[in-house]
Amino acid sequence: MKEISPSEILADLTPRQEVWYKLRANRSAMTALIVLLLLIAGAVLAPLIATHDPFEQFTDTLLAPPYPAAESRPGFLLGTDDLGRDMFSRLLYGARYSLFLGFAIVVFSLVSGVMIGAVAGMKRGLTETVILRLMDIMLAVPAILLAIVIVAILGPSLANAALAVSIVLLPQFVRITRAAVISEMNQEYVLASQLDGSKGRRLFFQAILPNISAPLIVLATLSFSSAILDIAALGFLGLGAQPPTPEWGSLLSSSRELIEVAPWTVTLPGLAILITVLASNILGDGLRDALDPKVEVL
Amino acid sequence: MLQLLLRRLLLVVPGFLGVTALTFFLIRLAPGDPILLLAGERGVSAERYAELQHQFGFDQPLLIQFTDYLWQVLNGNLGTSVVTQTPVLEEFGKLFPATLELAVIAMIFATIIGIPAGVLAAVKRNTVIDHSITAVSLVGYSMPIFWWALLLILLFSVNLGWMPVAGRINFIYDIDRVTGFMLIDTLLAGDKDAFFDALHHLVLPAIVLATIPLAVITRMTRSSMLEVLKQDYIRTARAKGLSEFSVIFKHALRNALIPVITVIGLQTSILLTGAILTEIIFSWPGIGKWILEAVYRRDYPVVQGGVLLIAGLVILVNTTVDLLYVVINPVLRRR
Repeated sequence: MKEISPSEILADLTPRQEVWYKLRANRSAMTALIVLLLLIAGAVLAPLIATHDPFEQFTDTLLAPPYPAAESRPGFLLGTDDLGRDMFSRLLYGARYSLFLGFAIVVFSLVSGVMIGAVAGMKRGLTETVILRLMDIMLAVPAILLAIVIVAILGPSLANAALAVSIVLLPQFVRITRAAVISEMNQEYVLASQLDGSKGRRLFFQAILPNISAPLIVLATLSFSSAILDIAALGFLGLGAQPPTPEWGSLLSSSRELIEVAPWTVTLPGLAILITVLASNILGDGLRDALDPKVEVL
Repeated sequence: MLQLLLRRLLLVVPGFLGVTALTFFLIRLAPGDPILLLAGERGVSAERYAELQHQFGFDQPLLIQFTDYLWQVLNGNLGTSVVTQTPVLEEFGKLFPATLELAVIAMIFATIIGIPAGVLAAVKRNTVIDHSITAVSLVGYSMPIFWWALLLILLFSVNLGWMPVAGRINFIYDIDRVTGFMLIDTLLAGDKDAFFDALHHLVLPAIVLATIPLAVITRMTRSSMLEVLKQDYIRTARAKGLSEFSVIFKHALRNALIPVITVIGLQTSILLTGAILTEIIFSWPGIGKWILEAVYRRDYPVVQGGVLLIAGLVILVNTTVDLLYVVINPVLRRR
């Protein structure tokens, strides 16, 4: 019987199947994907899974440690905070904020970044120069600092923090899209499409965008982790979600003073952030290897 | 090459101009009238209001206000803090050495560990060593450093009692300020105990601030080394019978370092971002803490001037790195 080599398998697959095939072979990326899916499921199903109301204060069980400790209280798997709120339920509801916001931020930056980048790459000339210089300026201000200033002006709230982080993440999408569009504009298929009479929006969405999606997908995955980190950092600084919202960053900042008496109230939210960020970074790296994008993502 | 360098230098001008415009107009978007904010709860009479408005130039068209501001900035006048009544530039100058000291120590730390770790991972590719280094740097890269700082405080300061929790130096030492760098000032004062106390205070914040650059440098060194080790000249060097040490450190690493140096330079922005979080947690009296406190107090001149100075710094460092890159990269040099 004839042996089938991996390259022969790949030859018969559609591009999408090929990416999936390569990704599935990458064990750490698959683990990361499963972890992310579990987190998403936990966030979506939070009302069903949570053992308690995340805001309810059980005044008779203040600062109960997580299992398995001698002072653990039944029903409070991960312990309680200083107001007797169940940590497990709060973390689960917190996932809703972090994951949903991370997703919304990436979608916003991706969509607007692709639009602006496409205009820069297709129009060239003065438009392009102005857009690029603007993005350079935004990149010159450290991300968190720019976000802090935006939040300082708009006022601290979760929505404003999310808006600030989307603005901070925008320049990368613009630059990647522009670079990719410029390199694709010289391809023959684009010329063919142009000869076929398509230009402007139609040319971009029908011909170019499908061909430059690989680096954008990778950047979007990696930006998801930056978004979650930045939102948490703003929450931690008191500029994002406000207590008693169980967003992970603000959970951390409100339990800072408890670090000596109840270390779990500090360790658990941070661990949740780390796991989510780590999983999306690993998945991003895996996707980059699987998609082998033509444009390098920095 | 000269032309390339000059062109790169010219790009600095629109960069600075843009950042100035960004900070100017962003602050103008802030809700609330700055004069009423200044007057506080006492309020202000209509005449005094008009007078103040004229004094601050708020009655002028926005564009005139901007050119005035630009002129002031070019003359080194970045405004005065509403809270302390000290010029912004002076406050920045006083606090910046603390941030610089922390950032430099963190960067040295990240470089002297990151480069060898990256080389080791590349040389021992696909072994347990490589996998562990890659995994650890991935975790470091994903680390929420504000949490990492709290964990280190919990372990080393609270539980073990080895490290101080906050500040730059124990208040029992009274060190004359000469350079603003605590490590240098204590040495100049000849106070050995104070020097070690300052060093002691620096360890945890420096580790926290170094974490992400360390991970980035390790990853970059590893992938750059892997790329170089594939090259023909490495095979030639080996074929010549050179020792493995000489092949890796003299032939491979030197070439692999070019992109790594660029990456190290580009960490400035990340370092300054990290400094804000690190300084807040460790009560480190630097510019990160200063700017954040100004945000909390709505001290807009400080926010505006501080952001401008930090962005200017980032542009300056990035430009220097770009220029250095041209100088050290033979391919670009020849053009």
